[in-house]
Amino acid sequence: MYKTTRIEKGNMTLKNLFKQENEINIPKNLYQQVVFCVEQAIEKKKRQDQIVWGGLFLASLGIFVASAIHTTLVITRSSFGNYFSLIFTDSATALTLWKQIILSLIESLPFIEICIVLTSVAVVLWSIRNFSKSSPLFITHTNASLA
Amino acid sequence: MEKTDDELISEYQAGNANALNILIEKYTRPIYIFTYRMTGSSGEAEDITQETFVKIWRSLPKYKMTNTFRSLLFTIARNTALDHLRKKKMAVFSDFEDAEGNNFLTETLSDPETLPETLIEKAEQTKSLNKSLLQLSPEDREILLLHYEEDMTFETIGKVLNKPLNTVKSRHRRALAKLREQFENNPQ
Repeated sequence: MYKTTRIEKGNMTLKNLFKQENEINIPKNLYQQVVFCVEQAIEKKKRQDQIVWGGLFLASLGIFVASAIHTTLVITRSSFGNYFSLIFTDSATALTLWKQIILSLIESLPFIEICIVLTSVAVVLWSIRNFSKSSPLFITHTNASLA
Repeated sequence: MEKTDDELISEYQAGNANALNILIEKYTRPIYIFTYRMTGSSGEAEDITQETFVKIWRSLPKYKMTNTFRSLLFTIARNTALDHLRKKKMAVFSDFEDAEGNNFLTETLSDPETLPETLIEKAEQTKSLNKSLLQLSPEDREILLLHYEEDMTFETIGKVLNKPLNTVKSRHRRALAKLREQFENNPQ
């Protein structure tokens, strides 16, 4: 117990010695330098995010336009348009053969092209949302509170 | 009432940029002192301090509110300081360690049990604790700094260094023994 007390006392004295030796001169502007570095890192990340999300937005917008045009052409050239227009031109026949018409509509629908269109719309919206978070040009809830 | 680190981080994540500035202000001095003691160079300590805070900012989005911000900060500071020392091609003591933290270079150390108060006598004679610390390896230095300067418990030091508690304790004993050797080699 005596040795433990001696060790505890010694530890406290060693701690005090370490803290006394704390006459290290801290550079005057160190805090400002650190804040500046962190702010630079934040700005750099924002620029990187803008490039990534801006690029993704443009690419997905291009894909959306191209796929929308292609899908429209596919639909008009396929029998989907004919079956669909039958509902409006000869509704009595359409009502009688509704099962066959629905199956034909489903068969002739260009699923892959429609999926591509919908996916590109989702990517456009997602990328523009992330771009707006990093860009001061857009006033969002987050940007407004950081300003 | 002063806010805790986790509260400040929550505020920062919610969009209050000033909360991060408060954290930086709180820890700039202790991190600088720690890295200065690790490297012995004011310029390097400044660079490492800046790097540390940039790295901690990057890790904030993934930080879980477990009241371990201080440990995380010192872990990053320590690793960054060791990277700087490695780049200067200073031999890192832990390179000679096995997976369990045993270091064959220290097996021949005599008298690992050194009462701190005998070191105080020596330190007062040499009046240069800093010089003696710099003559230790980075791994010995960091244990002493974290425990005696930053008042960290051995458990917390274990988290910072990612080492088991017993390894931290045995390294601490060895570090004290080596510090004693330095005092004996550097009589005033």
